Amino acid sequence: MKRTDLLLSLAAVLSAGAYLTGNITPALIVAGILGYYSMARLSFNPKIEVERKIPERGVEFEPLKLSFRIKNLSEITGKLRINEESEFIFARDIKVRVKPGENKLLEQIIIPHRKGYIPLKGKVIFEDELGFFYEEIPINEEKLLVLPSARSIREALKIKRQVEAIAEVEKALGIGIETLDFKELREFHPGDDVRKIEWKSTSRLGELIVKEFYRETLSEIYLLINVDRKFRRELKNLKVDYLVLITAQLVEYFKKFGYRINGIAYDDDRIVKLVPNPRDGKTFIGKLKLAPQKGIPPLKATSLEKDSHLSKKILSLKRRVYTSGLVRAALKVEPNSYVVIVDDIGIHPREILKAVNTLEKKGSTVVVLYPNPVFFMSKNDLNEERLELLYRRYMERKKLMKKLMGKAKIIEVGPKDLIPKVVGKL
Amino acid sequence: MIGIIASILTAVLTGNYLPLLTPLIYVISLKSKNIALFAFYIYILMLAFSFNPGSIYTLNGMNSILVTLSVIIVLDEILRGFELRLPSKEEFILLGALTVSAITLYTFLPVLTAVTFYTAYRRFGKASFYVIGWWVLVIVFLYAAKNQLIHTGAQALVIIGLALVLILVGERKDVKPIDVKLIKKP
Repeated sequence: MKRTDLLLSLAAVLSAGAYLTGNITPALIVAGILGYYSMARLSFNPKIEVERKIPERGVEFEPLKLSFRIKNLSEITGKLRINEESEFIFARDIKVRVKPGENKLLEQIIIPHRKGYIPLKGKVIFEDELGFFYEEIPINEEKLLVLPSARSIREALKIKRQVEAIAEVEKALGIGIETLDFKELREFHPGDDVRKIEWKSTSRLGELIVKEFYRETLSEIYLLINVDRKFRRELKNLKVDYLVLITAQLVEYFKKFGYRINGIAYDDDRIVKLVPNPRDGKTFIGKLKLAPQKGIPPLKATSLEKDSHLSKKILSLKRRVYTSGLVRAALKVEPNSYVVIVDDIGIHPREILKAVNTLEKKGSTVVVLYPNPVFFMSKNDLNEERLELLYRRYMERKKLMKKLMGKAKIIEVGPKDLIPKVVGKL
Repeated sequence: MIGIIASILTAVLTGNYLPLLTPLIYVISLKSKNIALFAFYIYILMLAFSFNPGSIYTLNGMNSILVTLSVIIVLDEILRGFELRLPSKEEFILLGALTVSAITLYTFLPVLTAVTFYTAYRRFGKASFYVIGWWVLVIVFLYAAKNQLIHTGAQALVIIGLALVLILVGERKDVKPIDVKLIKKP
């Protein structure tokens, strides 16, 4: 119930009583109450200026100070209430009395409990002193950059990120569904599902043994690999080494099960090399000639928005009709195949989507293996600024990946996803 | 503080001792404004009907105006929040004027009216002029219709009818009322 309602209902009761009893005292009190209400309403004209200053950045779960400069330009005294309504921020509300013409500098302590860019949802409300009326004062909308805390980084490191990249690729592609017919017992290969381990045989022989079942089909697999200079650019030979290993690993793995593999290497504009059915992983890598390119890797993710009119015109003038190397490679793939694209989604996300669409139209199943360059950055020359930049780039890429995930199957991989046993063999 | 003194002086001058209960409302307002508002509600119902001075055109009728003015000061002070402290310089002057004028009803009524309108002007600024204008209008109207408004019921009806004009004036402005829980859960 509102205070004004209580007063107006009192006036109504008194009015009825005055009329019924013929008493002028309640009638005069009614006039007094209504006059008071009317004055309060007419005089409520808040003119408040609120300026909020936020720090450049904060750290997750660490207190942070927001400062507010307040000016009361109206003729009435009132209470100013400041509260933060963001679900990702814990903040104490501020309540302060401001007199006409008064300037105040207030500080609010907030504790962000999520990292990334958090939109601040501050609400400033001015109430009259009588508790009758209020007005919401607009405040500039801002985002607060919150960096992860040392504690959360430590905790994240504790959770060993061991993505079985190959198993994920196989699962995403859904290659040759296994039947219930038992085929044989064999040695465990990296990427095998641990649920298939035959424990009795394993204990008898002293090494991991898995059960193998017949598969419905043995389909053709296409490996589309970006060999563009931009993709290979790096400061230390980490990413390209990794690419070599993961590609060889993929070839070896699928070869072992008798799949026919076709490799297509492409760059930004064209198909560089076709490698039909290589004998093994090493041969395949040898033919691709993947060499690292010195330079700063492109960390910034390209926008998923369409090209500007001007850039489209330039592209069409340059190559008449623009078809990227990746799309050209996708056009080479036979219908109803399984396709693994090894590329950086941050370099040309639109081309990846185009290629995925082209392949899906042909009835192929596609998965994108995405080595995130941020994971491959050297830890030795990290400083505060560099770390912040990497974090921003990482967040941009995560956002882009989320957008793409609805349209294509993407597996993000980093140097930790290598299987030590395979690395040793290669 | 002005409300307490005005109520006590009104009680003494009118011979109705119910306004002596006002300090109790002030004490309650120290604990909670909302409970004090409830107490004020009950106090007004008791006070309004315990005091029947007859026609407004008589000397007794003037007593009703005294009661009304002191009630408005009390309402304002409990809503703004009463504090136990020494009165300010301005309050001292106003209290002094009230106390000195309380020798007779004829001196107290104009001083209490002036104090009420002065405090209204200090708190509400220019908005108080509308209400002052309204009171002038009522006085003129009642004086002009003196021969027609013989029955007190008719006088009450005219005053209430004219008071509704105040609501119309106030409603010209769009405001958002605060929705507060008058009784909070413990």
